[in-house]
Amino acid sequence: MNEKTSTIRSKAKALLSLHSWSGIVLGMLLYAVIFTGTVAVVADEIGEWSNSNYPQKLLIKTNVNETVNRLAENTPQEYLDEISVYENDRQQLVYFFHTHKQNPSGDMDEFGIQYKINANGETISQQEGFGSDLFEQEDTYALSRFLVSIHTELHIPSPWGLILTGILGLAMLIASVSGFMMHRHLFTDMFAIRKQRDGKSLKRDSHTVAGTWSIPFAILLAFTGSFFSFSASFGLPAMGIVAFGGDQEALMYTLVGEQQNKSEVPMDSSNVNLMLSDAVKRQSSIPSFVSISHFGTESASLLAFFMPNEGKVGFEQLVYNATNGDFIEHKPLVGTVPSAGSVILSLIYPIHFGTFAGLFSKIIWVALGIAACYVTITGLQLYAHRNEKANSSRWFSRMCVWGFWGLPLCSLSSAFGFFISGSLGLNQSFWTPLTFVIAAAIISILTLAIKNISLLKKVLLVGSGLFCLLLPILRFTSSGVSWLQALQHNMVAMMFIEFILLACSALCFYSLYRTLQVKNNADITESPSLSSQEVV
Amino acid sequence: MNHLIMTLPFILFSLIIILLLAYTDPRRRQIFNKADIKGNTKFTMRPFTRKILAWSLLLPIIPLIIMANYAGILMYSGALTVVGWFVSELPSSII
Repeated sequence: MNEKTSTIRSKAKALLSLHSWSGIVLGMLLYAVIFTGTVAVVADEIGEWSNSNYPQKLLIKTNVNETVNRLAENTPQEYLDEISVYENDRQQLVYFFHTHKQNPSGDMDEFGIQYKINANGETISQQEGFGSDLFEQEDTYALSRFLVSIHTELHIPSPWGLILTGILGLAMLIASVSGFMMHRHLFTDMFAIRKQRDGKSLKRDSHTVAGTWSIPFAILLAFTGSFFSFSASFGLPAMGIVAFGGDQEALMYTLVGEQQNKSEVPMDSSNVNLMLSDAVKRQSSIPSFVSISHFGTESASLLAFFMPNEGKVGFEQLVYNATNGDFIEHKPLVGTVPSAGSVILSLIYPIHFGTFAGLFSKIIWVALGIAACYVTITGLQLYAHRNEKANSSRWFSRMCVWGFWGLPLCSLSSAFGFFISGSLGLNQSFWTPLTFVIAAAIISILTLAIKNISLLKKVLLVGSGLFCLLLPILRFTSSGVSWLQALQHNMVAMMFIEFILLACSALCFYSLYRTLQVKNNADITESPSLSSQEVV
Repeated sequence: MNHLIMTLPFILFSLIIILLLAYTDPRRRQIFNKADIKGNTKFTMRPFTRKILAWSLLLPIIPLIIMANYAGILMYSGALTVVGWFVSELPSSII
């Protein structure tokens, strides 16, 4: 019996070590990925908000057929290989006439001419280059793209950023599974949070309760996140080498499910507008983007891509024969015939980012992200709290404040940089990340300069609260779109982001008020203890 | 939009069940009693009843499957875990 008990204890100890070290070593980076992941869930809404835009449904409201034919006449023949069309966040349709070739980094990329057309059919701009470069220079998405990029790659050059986020996903998976296995009273303690003398929740209980409730989705999100990172950085290149002898083009053709030998015999294409109307009727929604292949040849086809709707979770792709306008098939995401692999792959992105049921599912996914952030924060605070007595400098507690309160403030600062640079006519794609870096440097200096950790936390709280309050005002002054206009035009995404910002501002100031209140009470009753006052 | 509206009642149902489970949770009550926090202790539930209530949280998945509302199943599962966490964090003066 004693032997059995000691075996169980040693196993529990090993699991605790695994859980602690996977969290402590990569905890701060994991928090960065989870926090920006929570923001990335509403990246589309942030894109619309930052441009004070709302979807105009230009794909069905404008004459796409006429524009495609007009632009095709003035575009080199080689770029008619593929034409992608989508609506951006500045009430324009982006037409990218392109072919595929290797970029200077050695990766297969799209290369061609990008036209931006407004609602009246006028050409606003025309640029030639690689698809990846054009997207990186696109100011419309400067803010949302920057925030998503922190989540996916931590702004570390490819493939190392992806590999690191993949490892962080695995660390989250290990922490979740080990946390689940080592907790002996998982279900009996689900609602039990003990309180400290000052009325605050006990950090250990807060960590375990939030962790217990979040376990299923922590595992799901960690797995899907790791899959994304490793498939892009390692899986696809490895598959290309093993199955296709390094031929990236052949790999892409197989994955996309397109025939390699296409007829280039000229033939008039069917009316694009009619195919789009049919696709909209079939799906009861507007496509996210349209891709026309081999335009003006007898191999011409049109693919309309739809986000999940009507209770489905995966993406939908409708393919048309663009020579006669006939509907061909609901195309699988991978390959030419339906398969389990394709179904699973089409589910992974919507499940990871919660984009399967519009704003409703995104709100739930944001809440799941907040829960995961809370688990990470309380876990690291727990470690800081336990070790601070042994460490006089309390550098770990200081680092926790720097990371937990600094990252949101830096992200808010990048939004400031986006609006101010936009108002001054500067390059928003350059200034948005730079403002983040400047804010990070200032916060780091403050962290080193302010000795009192509690004061540091208050300063960062005030900064975040003020920025959340000022951003809607800044957005209004830069675009001139008021809340009344937003309501008139049903700009749900913009109103949602402004509501979230104002709620966060209120929360920051309330938290500050509570901290000051607790301090005052502690001053009256007894001298403040280290645990209640100094630890975040 | 219909599939979203169809999911809301189930989320509200889960909220009520979780509130009941938290309110009658013996461990939670034991902690509050130890801390001399006064709450309503008259309403109790047998462990078997609590188990039935906990299992009933899975019931909404059946109609959602029948309606082929797979997005609803995911949303319900996500909301269930978030609601559970929020309810656990509520102070004893509320629940």
